[in-house]
Amino acid sequence: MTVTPRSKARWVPYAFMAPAVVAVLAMVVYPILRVGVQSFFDIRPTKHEGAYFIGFDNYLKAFADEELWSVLGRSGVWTIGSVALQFLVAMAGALLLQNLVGGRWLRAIFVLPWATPLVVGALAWKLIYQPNGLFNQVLEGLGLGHLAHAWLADPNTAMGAVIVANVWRGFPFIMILLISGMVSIPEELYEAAAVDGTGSVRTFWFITLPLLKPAILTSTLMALIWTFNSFSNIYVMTGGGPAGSTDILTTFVYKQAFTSFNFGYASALSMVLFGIVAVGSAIYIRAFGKEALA
Amino acid sequence: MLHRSKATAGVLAATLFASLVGCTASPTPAPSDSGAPGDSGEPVTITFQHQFNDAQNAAIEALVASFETEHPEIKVELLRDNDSSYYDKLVTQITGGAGPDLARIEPVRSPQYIAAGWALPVDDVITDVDSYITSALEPVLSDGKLYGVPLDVEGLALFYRTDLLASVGYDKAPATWDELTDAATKLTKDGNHGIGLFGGWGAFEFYPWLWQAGAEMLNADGTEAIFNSPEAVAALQYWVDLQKTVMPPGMATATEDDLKGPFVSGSLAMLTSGPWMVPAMSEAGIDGKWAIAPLPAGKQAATVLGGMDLLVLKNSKHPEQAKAFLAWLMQDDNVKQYYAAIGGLPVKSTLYTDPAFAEDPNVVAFKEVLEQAKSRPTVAASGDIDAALGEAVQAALAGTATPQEALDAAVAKANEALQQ
Repeated sequence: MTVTPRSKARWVPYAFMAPAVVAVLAMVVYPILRVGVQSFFDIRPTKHEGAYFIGFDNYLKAFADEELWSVLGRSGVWTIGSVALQFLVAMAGALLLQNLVGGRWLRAIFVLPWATPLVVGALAWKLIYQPNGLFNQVLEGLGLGHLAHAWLADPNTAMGAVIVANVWRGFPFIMILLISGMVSIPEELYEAAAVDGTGSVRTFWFITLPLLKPAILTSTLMALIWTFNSFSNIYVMTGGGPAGSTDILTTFVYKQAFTSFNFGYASALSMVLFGIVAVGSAIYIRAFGKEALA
Repeated sequence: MLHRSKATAGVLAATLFASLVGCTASPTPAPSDSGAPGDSGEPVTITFQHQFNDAQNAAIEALVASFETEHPEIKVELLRDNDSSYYDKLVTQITGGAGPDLARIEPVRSPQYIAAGWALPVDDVITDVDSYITSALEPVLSDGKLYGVPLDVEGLALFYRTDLLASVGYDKAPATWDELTDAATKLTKDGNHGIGLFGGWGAFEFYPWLWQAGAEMLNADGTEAIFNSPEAVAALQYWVDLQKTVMPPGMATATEDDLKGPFVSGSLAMLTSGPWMVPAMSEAGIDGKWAIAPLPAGKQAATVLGGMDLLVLKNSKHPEQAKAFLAWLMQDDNVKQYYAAIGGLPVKSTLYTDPAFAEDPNVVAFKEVLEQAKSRPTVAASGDIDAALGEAVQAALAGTATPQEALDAAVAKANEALQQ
C-alpha cells in the first residue's frame, strides 16, 4: 500500500487549484451569469415590486438610448486616448531608463504613480486642476497665465484633464513590462547591428520593437481593459460631469443602478460592457498575431 | 433555506454591479441576531447604519448608552460608514435582502426608498407629528403615512464677511438680488470676489434661487417637471451673470471646500452654506468678522431644506425594537441632548422656545432661515430630477449651454424619469 509519486501527482494539482476555482466561480462566473439573467428582467423597485421578464427589451432600450451612444463615444476617447498616451510615455521612459546611468534608481521613482492608491492619486489631481491649483500656478510661472483655467469645470477640457491624470497613473505598468522585455532581448543582436553600422532609429525599429511585441500586447491589452472598465478615477475627479462631459459607460451604468434604481437596465448595460471588452480584446489579440501572446 | 440562498444570490448579484463598475464592494455586515425577540431573555440587537460626523457620533453613542440602560432587552449596534459609497452599499445590502434595521438617509433619497417599499411605516410610534417643522416631514410622508422621521434639519443661509461688506457700505447682509449684485460687484476687485455659488454638489445650492425667482420644480400634482419656466431660466441666468462678473472661476464643479479658504482669508466676501459650516467658522480665527443671514430674496424669500432622515428598513428582523428605539430617541428630552451636543437645529418647532436653544444666536439666525425653507421634490423620481437639474446648472455655469437650453434638456430628462 504505497502511494507512488505518480498517483499522488494526479490529484495534487487539482487540490492546489480548487480554492482559486471556487473563488472564481463564486465571485466572477456566478455574478456574471446572474447579471446576464437580470438583464432580461424589468427590475425597478420604485415602480413595482419584484422582477418581470421582458426578453430583450432592456437591450433594445439601450440601442435606442441616444445618451448611451455619446457615452460610448466618450468611453472610446477615454480608453484609446489614455492607453495611446500611456504607451508613448512608457516607451520613452523605458528607453530613457535603459540608456541612462542611474536608471535603476529613477525606475523606482517612475513607478510611484502606479503605487499610489487610486483614490489618493485622483484627489491629488483634482487639487492640481483647481483654478488656484498647481497646474495654473505653473502656467503662470511660465508666462502662460492667459491659459490658466478651471480645467475640470469646463466641459471642453475636463475629458483631457482626466485622461492626463490617468496617463500619469497608468504609464509605469506598461513601462515596467517594456523594460523587462528589453532586458530579455539578446545583446548579440545589438552588437551585430552595431557591427553592420545600423543607426539607433533603425535598431529600435527593426530589433527592439518587433521583439517587444509580446510585452507590448500584454501590457497595452491589460491597460485597455482596465481603462475601459475603470471607474474610480473619473468618479472621484468629476463624477461624470461637468454636464456629462466625462460620463463614460461605467459611470453611466453606476447611475442607472444607484441613482435611478433601474437594475434590469443597468444589468443589460453591464452585459454590453462585458461584451465590448471580450470582443474588443479578441480583435486586438488577433490584430497583433496570436504568437505575440506567448 | 430557499430564502437564505436567494438572499445570498441577491447579495452576490448586487455586489457585481459594484465590482463591474470598478468600485470595491465592502463586506456586508451580518444581519442582526436572529431568533424571536424576548423569548429567551437574551437582549435583541438592532443595527443602526449611519454617516454621522464625529460630534454627532459621540452624541448618538451617549444616547444609545442611556437607551440600553433604560431598555436592557434591546441593544443598539452603531455601524458608522463615512465612505462616499455609503448609499451604494446600503442599496446593495437592501436589494440583497439584508442591511441594517435602521438607517440614516438624505431627504432627497427618502422618497425613493419609500417608493421602493424599503421603509416601514412608523406612525404607530411617532405620534407627535404636529410638533415637527412641517416641511421637514414632507420627504418621509407618503399617502399621508409616516415612513421615517427627520432627525437633522438644515437650510442654506448666506454667510458673509461683515468687515468686507461694511467696507462697501453694507451694515447688514444684502436682502435682495439687486443689493447682492451691487455689493458683490463693489467687492470684486484685485483678485477678490464678491460671492461663490457652486454646482459641484449638483443642484442643491441652486434650488433656493429657483424658488426665489418664483419658479417651481414640478406641477401641482407632481406628475410633470416645469423647471424650464421663464422664472427658472431667469434664476439660472442670474447665476451665469454672477459667474461672469463676481464669482471665482470654475464654479460649475467647485464645492464648499474650494470656497471655505478664500472666505476665511478674506478674498471671498459671501457664500451660502448651512449649520454644518458654523463650527469650522467659529474656529477659523475670524470671530466678529462674519455673520449669518437669510438668503437675499428675489420675488420671494426661499431656501432649500436639507437634513437627515431616519428610516426603519423593511429587511429589519426586529422592526418593533427598531421602532421603539426611534420613538425613544425622538422624545423631546432625548433629542434635545443630541442637538445641544452638536450645536444642531431642532427639527421640532416646539423646542425653539426651550432655553437651551432660544439664546444661541446661530440657532436663532437659522430658525429664521428654516421658516423660508422648502423641500426638494418628494416623488419617487426625485433622485433623477435632482441629477438632471444639477447637470443643467453645471452646463450653464460652464457656458456650454444657455440657461434655456440647459433647463429644457433637464426637464425632458426629468419628465422621462417621471413617466417611467
